[in-house]
Amino acid sequence: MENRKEAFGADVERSYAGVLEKVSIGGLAASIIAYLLYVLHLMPLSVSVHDIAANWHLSSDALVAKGLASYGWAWAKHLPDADMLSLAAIGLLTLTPVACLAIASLAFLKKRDYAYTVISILQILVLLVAVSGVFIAQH
Amino acid sequence: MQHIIEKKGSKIVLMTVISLAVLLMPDLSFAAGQLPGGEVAWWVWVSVLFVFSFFLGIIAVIAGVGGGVLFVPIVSGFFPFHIDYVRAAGLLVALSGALSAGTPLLRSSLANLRLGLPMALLGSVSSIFGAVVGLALPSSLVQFALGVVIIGIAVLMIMSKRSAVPEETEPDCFSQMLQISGLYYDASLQKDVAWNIHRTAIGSILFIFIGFIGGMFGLGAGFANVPVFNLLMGVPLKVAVGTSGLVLSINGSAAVWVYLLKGAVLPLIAIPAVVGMMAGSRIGAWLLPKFHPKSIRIVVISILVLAGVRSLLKGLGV
Repeated sequence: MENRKEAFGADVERSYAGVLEKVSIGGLAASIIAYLLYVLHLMPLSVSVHDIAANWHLSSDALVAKGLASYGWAWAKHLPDADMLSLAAIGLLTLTPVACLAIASLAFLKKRDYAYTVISILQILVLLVAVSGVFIAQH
Repeated sequence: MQHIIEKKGSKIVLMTVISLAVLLMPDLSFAAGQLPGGEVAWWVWVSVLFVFSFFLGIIAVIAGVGGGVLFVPIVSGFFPFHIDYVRAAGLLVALSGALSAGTPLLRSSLANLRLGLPMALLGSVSSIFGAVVGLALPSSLVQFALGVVIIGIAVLMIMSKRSAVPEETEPDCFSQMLQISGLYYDASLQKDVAWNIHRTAIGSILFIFIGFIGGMFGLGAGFANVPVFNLLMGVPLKVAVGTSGLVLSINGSAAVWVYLLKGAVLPLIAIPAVVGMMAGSRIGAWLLPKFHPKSIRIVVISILVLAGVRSLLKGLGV
């Protein structure tokens, strides 16, 4: 059974799964810790929880215009404020597939599976382009 | 075996109680406060969101639907948050659920990279554009369109049939070129099941469309991925469900960055929703054998229709 699975490439799936487990748990744990620092005011905040709650009925554009949310990568300047740490932790969680795909692309390359090596690398590039913010208009 | 399940179940219940206590803690601490004008305090909404997401996680697993598809229409219809933040949280809820379930599915060959990666590559590009378009449109239009999509999903759920293991399919030229095929052990059939796919080109086009819709409305899109894999491309149902999660995690990761960089991810809303949904999903997986999925599915379809109508009305300003 195992040998037949190997023939279908289950070893790449196992490599992907190993990274997925570690990085996603790390990202989730970081999100919870950062959130507690945020709502319990254990660290300085860029924007108070009350200001966010008083305006969460407004659109994201309106929140940015009021200076209560950041556009593009401007939020990174306010690290390590707890609200921005929460945002960074969410960002870390969403980058889990990038780490998994990096391992998968190496595993495909090792198997000389060039088509899937290219697909994996292209997928990483798409995700990194999304992270870079080139798809959002200049503010 | 039974005592292992019970022990695991108790651990899950304990974890959930601790999570609930921790997330409700602001209630008891100095961080709590009233909004101006004597409105409901922020922590009440956040706590209700957490509890709601927790129960939604249970229902979603038992009904076999993704969390995002229930989360977005209900939360945008009944909570005071703007739909921008709800869509971003919906993507994160769907993404984190898929990440959480991904490891065991990949290890048991129920999620397949050769099948999922080409579809995710196309879907992730379109999901980014979906998110860009969704954030550019007026929110009333998005809310109205969401209502239409959600009612459409409910109709799809009523009408779609599922094929546990489709008839043996003749692989097409694309699937042969990419060597998309697989093998898994089906515990219910007690045998290895080998599978191939066909209609790869049509399936790929549909994944572009599904990615766009998922990014635009913050929906997980498992509701559409699974029938395309299963009914159109001939993938066994279990592999279709597992691989759908893989595709969803990649598409969601791409689209959510558009929301994050446009200031539409509010950790105050997103994190309780994600944690509540993930805790609920684990309880749901534990309770799954005790419930009749068909009856829960009817409840979910009814909820979707109600949430869809509410979304339509909200979009019309009613």
